[in-house]
Amino acid sequence: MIARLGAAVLLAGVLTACASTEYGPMGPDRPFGYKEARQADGSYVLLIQHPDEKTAYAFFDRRAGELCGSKGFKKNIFRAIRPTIVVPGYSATTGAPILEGYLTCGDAEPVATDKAAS
Amino acid sequence: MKTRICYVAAAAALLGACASVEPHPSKRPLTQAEISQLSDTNFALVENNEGIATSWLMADSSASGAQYGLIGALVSASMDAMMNAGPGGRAQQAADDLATVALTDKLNKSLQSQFDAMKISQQPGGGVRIAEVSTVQKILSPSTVNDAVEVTISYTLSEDATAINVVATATYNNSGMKYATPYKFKSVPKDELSGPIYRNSFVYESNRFSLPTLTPEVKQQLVDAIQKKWVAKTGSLPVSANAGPRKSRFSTPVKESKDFEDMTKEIKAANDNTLSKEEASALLTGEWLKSGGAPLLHELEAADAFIAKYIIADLNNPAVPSLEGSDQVVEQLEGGRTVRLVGAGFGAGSYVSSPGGLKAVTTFGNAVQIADVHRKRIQELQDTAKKQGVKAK
Repeated sequence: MIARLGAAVLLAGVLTACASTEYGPMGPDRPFGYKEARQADGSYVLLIQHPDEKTAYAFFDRRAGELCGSKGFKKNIFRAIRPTIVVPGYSATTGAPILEGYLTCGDAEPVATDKAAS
Repeated sequence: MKTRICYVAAAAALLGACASVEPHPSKRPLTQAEISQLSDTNFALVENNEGIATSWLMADSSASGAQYGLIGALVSASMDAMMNAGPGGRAQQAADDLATVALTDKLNKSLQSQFDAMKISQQPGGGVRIAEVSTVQKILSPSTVNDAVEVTISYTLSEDATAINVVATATYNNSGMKYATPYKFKSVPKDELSGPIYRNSFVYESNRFSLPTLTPEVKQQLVDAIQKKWVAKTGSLPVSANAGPRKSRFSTPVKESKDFEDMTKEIKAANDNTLSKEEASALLTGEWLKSGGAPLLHELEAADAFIAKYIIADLNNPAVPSLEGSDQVVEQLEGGRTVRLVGAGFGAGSYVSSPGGLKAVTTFGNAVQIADVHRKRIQELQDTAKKQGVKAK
């Protein structure tokens, strides 16, 4: 049984390893990267998914820089979760971190920082 | 004949399994005519019985173990029990701690007070308004309340205790009205043929605590929290079996108790330089409870206010959501908090209030623990329901 469990873990690892984690747009064959939607007011909603949390935040800033260029940007990340993946009968695992936030170009002033409950 | 029936049944089952239900948003909006018809409507708030549930990641290897028969099932069950004891115990402690400030009675009163306040402040005019606000205990009265908006609410602490999610569902049922789906289908699925006239969900994501940096003081706080947990669990602090003077310098040390060994292991882990989710949870549960639970109560009040406000607004919004669309920010609040109307997918039409400027991710596990005090209360209610001959719905 331990061998099978080991094989399953290895397989999961191999499959994750196969998906590219390089910087780039997300797509049907690319679960990691960035995706954005332009809003009617010209702002963006930017979505990032990456197995490494720090890289995910770095991707957010990098993509924001690309979209806004020298104008600078104001970001407000409103979703920062590591989803739980559940397969009945098997141990639940946590998936790759997901970040989602609003992005407004042309205003370099950062949004209020991470605020603890008060 | 019997064989034929079996073939027909098997074919029907197969076809049923293959038929896919056309996806549609979960929301059921009221039509403009229904909004006018409802006018002053009663609100029945379903009493929450579980309090703030604390989430954790539960291990389950039953499927892999089952392939190896009874022995495999037993082995996997005992392995799961060992792996789950720590995180499950931590979540239990957090739930018990939070219940010292947020008993279900307090949670239920807080929600009711927000609806009462909305009732007082509502302006005269058309549309759905609050007539009376009452509470309903579903264990004792499981039937749907007729001609009333029912509000059900749940509270969940994240695995590392940085955040709390509050989810409310509102439904309106009326035996004299029939639900007509506003969504277009090739063939209307069964779940869209009956049920509530109105339904939607409202999610409040709390402001978050940052994960603490491990300083000597924080490590000591962690050790204190671990010791407190063990006192709560076993009645006293587990002590070493070798604490007393040894009989002679040649006598072998006595085997330590399992409780003492486990506690020692946790204290050792607390003094390393990594912060596990269990450790973060132990520390941050204390933060929620500081100053008589002020941070916790502040967030719960904000959640209840959001829920009351947006349920009333949404009842008066006949817009039909679609599976494809984009989110719409409907309110921007201090500190970067936003309220958005979900624009796509199963949750289209629902409302989410999220904090802004998030700097770290959090996780909500696949299992929850509830406080012992609430578990006992549920048992009492179930016993009463049984005595009264109440049939669970």
